Amino acid sequence: MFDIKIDENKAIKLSGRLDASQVNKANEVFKLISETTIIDFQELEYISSAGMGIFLAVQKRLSESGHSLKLKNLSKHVNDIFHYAGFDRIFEIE
Amino acid sequence: MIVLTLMNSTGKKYFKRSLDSLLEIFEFTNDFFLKNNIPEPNKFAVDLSIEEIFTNMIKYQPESNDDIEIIILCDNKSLKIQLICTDVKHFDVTNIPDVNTKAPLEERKVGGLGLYIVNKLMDKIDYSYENQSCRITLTKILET
Repeated sequence: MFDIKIDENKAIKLSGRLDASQVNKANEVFKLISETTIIDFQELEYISSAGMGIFLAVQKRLSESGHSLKLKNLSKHVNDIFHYAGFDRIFEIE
Repeated sequence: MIVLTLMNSTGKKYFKRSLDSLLEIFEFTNDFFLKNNIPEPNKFAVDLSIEEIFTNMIKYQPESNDDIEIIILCDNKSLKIQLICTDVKHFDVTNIPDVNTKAPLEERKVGGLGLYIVNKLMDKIDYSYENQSCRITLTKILET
């Protein structure tokens, strides 16, 4: 299952599987982001285009005020599909 | 109904037209992979591709109340995954839209990525429509 937590440094930690059925749950947190934020993918096993759409929408919104999402610890599979989608051009990925 | 089917082995199951079916679908693919010793590196691509096609069927062919069948066929070299929906109008959900992945952030559009990524992950995608039923067949050559 999917889980999303905010840690003591205000980084967002994702875990489990972010599929289309979990988008509303993710959006409840992502809609509150208003400044540059680190998203930790260390424990995220899976993401589909529904989840990727959330990231793109938030990145577009944040960019209007000079902020952004910074993505870290992507698994190989997630990194591959982010590359296919061109997300490595529009996100800072560590 | 949408039906889902997976060496020289076949798995087949029906799933309700709901995003809530995704968990059951992934359990189905997980069982099939385990029973047939399919190398794990292939699972992410298979699950993602099934999800994208399944959700597109729900979204773009809402006129049907039938469950969706998923069939997985496996031999030593490849997987064939078929998603079949019945009582629907013709709509080629594999009609891949253009996505400019090199566009700057301000020009990127939210949406449209699903089928684009499936096209990258699968080696072949086929669509057929007959007698008010559509069948999407995804073929993936197995990675070891």
